[in-house]
Amino acid sequence: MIILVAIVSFILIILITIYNNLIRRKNEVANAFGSVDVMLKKRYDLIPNLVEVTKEYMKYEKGVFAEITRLRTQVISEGSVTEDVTIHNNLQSKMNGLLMNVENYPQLKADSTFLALQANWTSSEEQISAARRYYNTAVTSYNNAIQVFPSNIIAGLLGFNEKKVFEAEEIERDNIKASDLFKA
Amino acid sequence: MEFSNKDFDTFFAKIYPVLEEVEIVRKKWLNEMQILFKWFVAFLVSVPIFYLLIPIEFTILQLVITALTFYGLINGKRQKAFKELTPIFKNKVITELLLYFYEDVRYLPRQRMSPVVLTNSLLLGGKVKRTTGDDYTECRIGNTHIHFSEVQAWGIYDIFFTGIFIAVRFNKTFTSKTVIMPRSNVSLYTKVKIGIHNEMNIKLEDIEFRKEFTVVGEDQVESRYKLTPSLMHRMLEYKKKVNKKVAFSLIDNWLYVAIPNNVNLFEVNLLKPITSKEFMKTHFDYFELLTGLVNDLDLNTKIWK
Repeated sequence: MIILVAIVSFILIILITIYNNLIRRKNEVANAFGSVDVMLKKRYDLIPNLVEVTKEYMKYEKGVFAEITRLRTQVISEGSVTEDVTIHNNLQSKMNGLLMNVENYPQLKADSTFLALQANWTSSEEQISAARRYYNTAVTSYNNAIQVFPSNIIAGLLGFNEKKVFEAEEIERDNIKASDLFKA
Repeated sequence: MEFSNKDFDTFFAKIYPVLEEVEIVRKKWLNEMQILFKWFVAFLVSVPIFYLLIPIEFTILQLVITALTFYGLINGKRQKAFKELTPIFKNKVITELLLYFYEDVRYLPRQRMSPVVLTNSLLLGGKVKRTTGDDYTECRIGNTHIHFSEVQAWGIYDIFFTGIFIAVRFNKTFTSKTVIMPRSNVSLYTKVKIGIHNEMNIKLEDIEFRKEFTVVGEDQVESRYKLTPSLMHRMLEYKKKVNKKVAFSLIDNWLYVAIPNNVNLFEVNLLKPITSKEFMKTHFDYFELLTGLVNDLDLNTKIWK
């Protein structure tokens, strides 16, 4: 009888450990996903200021500014900025194009407010990249846990599904053409 | 300023007259040593002769006392020569080397990194009570300000680090701490504990980097923001170049680097000619390695400045 209780307890402990491990990894994925969201929101908060400063100098690009403002509003109104990758990528392309076109406006290039905003924009790009790397590591660790034996059995029974890592979109993989990016 | 490909031959040609000056002092000491040594040999040879010719008995104690007297004399002379040569060597030769490599140089040959800096770096595994060491240097390489010295870090009773400690200052202040320790210092089955707030292991995606280093930090995202794939690659390359268990930490607006080393660097060797190219090349290579840190980690163009 004691042996049977010991065996059952042992199996229960193993099951609880596996379950807790899966939950921990799942939560880490959610946490990492939240980090990406936070970084993207932080970046989008820079857009109104960047648009305001550049507008004064780049008077012939009204269409681009309108498009950027529209996309930003759309992205912010979504629950999570990472939900709609297409809008995000579109906005990203427009902003990159805008910043690349600055070369044609020497006065703007010398504006200290613009330079500070541009530095923040670049820094936020690095932070987003770091957050994505964290998310990918968390997802890989989670996916490994739900695929290896014996945790795959519990994961299957309790409905833990595989998650996708962030992958560079085709547009990000291609070499960026400034002229294409700046089309309204 | 050009940081790489510093030309040793050009520097050697420039420093040679100074080396000759220092070499004169060393040769003077060497001559005195040779004379003392000859007297000692003569004494050793004369003992049995005296013993055969005149029936004087030399006891073992007398022989030991005589030998110790000679040893004391030689050591005293060596200390004196060392005291005389070291300031000349450091103030003339090492200072010239520093000026050749760096800008805005402040060199304090008898000072070293403070225990507070060493403790703050979190690299030495505990609170540093006091430090010994020398060759404290502050300088600038391009836009990067760098401080370094040879140092021995003491706990309450014992030394727990001997080597070169480097601190590099940035214009950006990080909000969280990140420590990069050599993997070989850590068992695979134990977590590193360095006693920081919200401590967590940072599992980075670079497999080769993970084989060599273990990373502990307070923030998963900021640690990755600092440790970009390119910086990880550069740290690995730097480790290979140094060939020591080098450790890094990124705290506030500082990058700290600890390179363990048991050899006392930037010192004069009384038994080897100071004018020797090989001797100077060793010092030159060490400074090139330190300068290389800024180049290798691309600190002058880092995005977070």
